[in-house]
Amino acid sequence: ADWLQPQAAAAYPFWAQENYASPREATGKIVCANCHLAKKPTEVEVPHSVLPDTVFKAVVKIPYDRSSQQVLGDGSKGGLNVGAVLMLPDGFKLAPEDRISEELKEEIGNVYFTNYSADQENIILVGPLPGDDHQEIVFPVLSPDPAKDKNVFFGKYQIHVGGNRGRGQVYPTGQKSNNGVYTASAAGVIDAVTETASGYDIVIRKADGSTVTDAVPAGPSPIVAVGSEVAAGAALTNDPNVGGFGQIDTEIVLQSSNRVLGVIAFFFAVMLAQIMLVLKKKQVEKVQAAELNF
Amino acid sequence: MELLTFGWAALLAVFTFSLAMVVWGRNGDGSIGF
Repeated sequence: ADWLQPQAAAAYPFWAQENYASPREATGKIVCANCHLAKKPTEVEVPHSVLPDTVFKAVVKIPYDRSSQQVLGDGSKGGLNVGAVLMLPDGFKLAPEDRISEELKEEIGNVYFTNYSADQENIILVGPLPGDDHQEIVFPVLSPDPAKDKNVFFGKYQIHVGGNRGRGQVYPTGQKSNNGVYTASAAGVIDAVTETASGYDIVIRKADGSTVTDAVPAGPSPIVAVGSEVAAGAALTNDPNVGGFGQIDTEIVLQSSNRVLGVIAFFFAVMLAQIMLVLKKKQVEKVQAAELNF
Repeated sequence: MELLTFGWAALLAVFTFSLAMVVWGRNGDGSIGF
């Protein structure tokens, strides 16, 4: 029984790791969207700029209605899981345990992060997590130091984020999951809708008199009745899906403290020059007032 | 992160200060006459 010997979560980000060298395709699509077909919003919060070798937090928000329930693999209803992928610029990585402050640790909570692959430390995965407690996921991130790593430079870089809630509609093998709409394989009239051990069998009688049977797994419920006419590809069931995937891009500046000190020094020089100009103007005005001409 | 905040604050300050310098250079805006 599952409660005696809980099965290791078949971690869904793991399927992406197994099938794609990079989680982001050339078009910019994050590969989660290949199986999580529905679209739902995902939000991200990162600092505008960070100094080298600094720990900061990236917050990914995966909102959904907490009262909603999804269909599980066996057709019963249950809570949603969430998962996220955070693609940081090269050199950025998950902050090591000893660099994370107690305060930040509390914010992160009991969340386990993994790298996408051994040589891609800048891509961080998380999930599946129980969604009701993790609609907001805090990633502790360590910025690189261009002084130590010659492959890293100061500048502005892109961050790509994907966040998902709920089960997907397709398995990596191409099979449909029971968390989507099932459609008629042929046009015709519904001959029978019978409940089976694993869902429904819907029999369609085609115009030539032959019949086809479309098996619907437990989860989606039929919306057609015996005698109703369906077109090929028309929905036979409702859509039980309540989740979805969303991705968002943002930017971060890896800022040099010397450049910031430089601009502050420049501002100081500007202020000093302005004071001097005003004082000079006052002096000229005094000379004019005395009607002195040189 | 404090240095970055200070940098932004310096930008706001230099702008405000330049307005103040114009007002000073023109001996006020005439809103108070002594």
